[in-house]
Amino acid sequence: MRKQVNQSRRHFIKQSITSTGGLALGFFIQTSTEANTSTATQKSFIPNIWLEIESNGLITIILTQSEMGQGVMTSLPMLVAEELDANWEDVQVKQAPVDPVYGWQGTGGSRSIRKGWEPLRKAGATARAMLIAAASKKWGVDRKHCKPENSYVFNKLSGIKISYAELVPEAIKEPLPDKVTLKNPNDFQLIGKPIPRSDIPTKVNGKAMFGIDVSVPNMLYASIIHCPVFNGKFISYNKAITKQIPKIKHVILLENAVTIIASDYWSTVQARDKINIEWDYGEFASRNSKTIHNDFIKAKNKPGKIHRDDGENDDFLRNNKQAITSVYETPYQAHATPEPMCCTASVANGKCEVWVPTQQPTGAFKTASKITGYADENIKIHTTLLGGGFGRRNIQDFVTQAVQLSLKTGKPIKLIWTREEDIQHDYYNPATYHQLSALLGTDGLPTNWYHKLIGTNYSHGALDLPYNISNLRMESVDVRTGIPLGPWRSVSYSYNVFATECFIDELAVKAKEDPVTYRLKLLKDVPRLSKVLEVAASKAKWNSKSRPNIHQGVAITASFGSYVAQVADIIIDKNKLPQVKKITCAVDCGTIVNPDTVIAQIESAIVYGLTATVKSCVTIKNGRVEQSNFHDFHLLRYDEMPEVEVHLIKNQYPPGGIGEPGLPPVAPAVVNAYFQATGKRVRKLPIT
Amino acid sequence: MSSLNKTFIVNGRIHNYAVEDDIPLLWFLRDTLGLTGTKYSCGIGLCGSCMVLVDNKAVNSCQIKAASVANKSIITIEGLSQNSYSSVQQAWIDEQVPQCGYCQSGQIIAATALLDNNPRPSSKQIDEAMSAVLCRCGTYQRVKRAIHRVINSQSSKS
Repeated sequence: MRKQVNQSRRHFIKQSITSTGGLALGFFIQTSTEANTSTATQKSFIPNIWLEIESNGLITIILTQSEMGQGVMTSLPMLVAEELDANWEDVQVKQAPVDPVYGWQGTGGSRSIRKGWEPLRKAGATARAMLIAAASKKWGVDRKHCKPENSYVFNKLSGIKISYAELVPEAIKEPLPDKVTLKNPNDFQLIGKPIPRSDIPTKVNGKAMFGIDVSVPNMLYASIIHCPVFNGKFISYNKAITKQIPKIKHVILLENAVTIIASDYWSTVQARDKINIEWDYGEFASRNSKTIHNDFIKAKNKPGKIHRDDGENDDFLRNNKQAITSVYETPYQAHATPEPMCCTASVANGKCEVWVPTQQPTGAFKTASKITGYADENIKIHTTLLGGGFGRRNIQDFVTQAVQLSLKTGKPIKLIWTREEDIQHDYYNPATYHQLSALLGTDGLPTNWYHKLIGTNYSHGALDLPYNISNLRMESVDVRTGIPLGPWRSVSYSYNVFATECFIDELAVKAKEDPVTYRLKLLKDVPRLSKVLEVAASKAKWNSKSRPNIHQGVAITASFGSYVAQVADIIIDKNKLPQVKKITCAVDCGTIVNPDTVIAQIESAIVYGLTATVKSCVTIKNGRVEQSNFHDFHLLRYDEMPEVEVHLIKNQYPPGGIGEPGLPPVAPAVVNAYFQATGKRVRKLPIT
Repeated sequence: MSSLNKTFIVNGRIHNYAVEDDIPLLWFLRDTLGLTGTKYSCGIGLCGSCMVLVDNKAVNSCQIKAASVANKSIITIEGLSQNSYSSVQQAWIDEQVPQCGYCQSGQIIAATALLDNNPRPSSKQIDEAMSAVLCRCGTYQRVKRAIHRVINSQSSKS
């Protein structure tokens, strides 16, 4: 363990010594929107990330982030290694232990690089300064003659060099520097270069350990059956099941669910068909997509929560006969992470240990703590690799279940949801209904814009409309439908930007203007967004009309600190549906840390968004989700994949997020292209 | 349910197990043999995450009974290469294909079966083979590049 020897409140860096006498620096990065920054302002600040340099030269960065394919286990260490002038080969990453003393540990909101940008580079620079100080003393030369490079410090006067490894015993005695200077971006050696992701090799040979792969001695397997109707109640089940299938050890009731526990997983799956559970479905069984839609219609005349109110809007809203109005709708969407929800828990001898693919390790910790009542030191959470997150693994339902089952049986339990449970008991992206209206001035540009969002109060993507419009009101009415909701990739940008970017296209058509030109006229104050729009249009050969069968649509979004424009090239197939051939995407995410990861995340967000545009949706019938697996919750397949061409804008702004910003423009770009092709305006997703 | 002792040849190793008639190969591989590289994702043969090679053909291991493939050659992701990486696996690293990585065993098995049986597949044949494996992270463009990388390196060798 580390011994604390020094800390600097001013820099929020804590200096320690590792168990083997190495240099350890602890620092803090904000990993959640929760009020966890307080830990960084307390008298004794508690780091949540550590940099360790051992006397054998190994450089370890201990991170709290969860790896779900977004490449944080590579891009975050790059920030440290850059300023440390470390040899990349010497750098390794470890997952931090989960402990509430570190503040909230979580991964989401495209936050990791944005929040890590300053503190991680400062950590590297601090260690570098201490190594230089040690070298300077050793050689008796001024620090300015000591040049760090590739895990060595070079003596510019004599030409000799000394390794970081050799300097560690001296560097640990150095005080924390009062201030450190970060590199000029023009001097970056690692940042901006495509560095291969460290998590990839074990993902091609089957050795990567996901949550579902965890194995604990004497572990039993659990399968869960939730009441198919939300909020229904359990009545009874076939108690003979344990005799019919001898491997079944327990049947345990949880809130709104029955769990089957056996010595192997397959037996639990077999038992699902034979357990004959009787449920009281309750009143919710009368709910369906139509009744929910009716609730939205009723709610649309209620006064909304006003999120933005620029200029003068009352007159326009009282008397808007000249207004252009449209209604847009989006359905519920499931996350459909490839790895279904799963969790392994072992509660025994006053200790609770949990292995879980989660975006919220601290949430898992608190869940385990609440259920068991055990002291913090008796709870241990292991974050495994995540087989997809997309927001779903922020929720603690599966952790709660696994811990409860282990507590009740006294055995380690691996709970694995079936795909059917996963699709039918998600926390869905909300269904939404949007009323939009606008008035055009004599120049064809909107003088008034009104957006009323029905279904949720999550307003980002609507309240931050980037266009320069003098009179603008955005309001929302939350509607509690009883369907569980949660964050889905890009959160409210997914549905709000669909509505706003289609509606602005309608206005361009009314004004008889080109959709790109029209947007540019309204984006004069947002140069970074104008730039990506111009680049995407130019690279996509917008308006070239050289390919008569190809129809184009465009959309833009500024979200999570990044700017994205996309042009969709579509053809119309024999069923009169859009077939997306190509998405040309321009991205300004500020400083690019690992360009190949940025491109991969954009490709990924486009496929995720396109799936929701042309393939998937969740509908409700008799109080339950109608879809249950990939035969009716359709995902985009290989042969449906458009070409995706990503153009990165180079600049030196601080980095923006990248996991989510690529998603919102896809649906409106495709819908706008469909209008160009057919003259038909789609206002409801998906297009199927 | 009967349990008979059967012989399984998995990744070139011989295992004798008494398996129940109806246990799918997927759960036998994962829970009995501990070969967890083969993944469960849909359980109904629609996503391809559980693909393995049986006598060099890619099959969804959730859809076949373990008992039915006794004495046949079963290759899982763990057995594609004895040391380092197969040409398909190496191409997957070179093109930085995986994101979350969960479906990638299935992607690599499907590509291996395709290319082993047909070193120069047409676009249509690639589409057909690879559309059997879903990727929620959307790595398809890189999967395509990796497959072409293998095809090109093989044709430059021959």
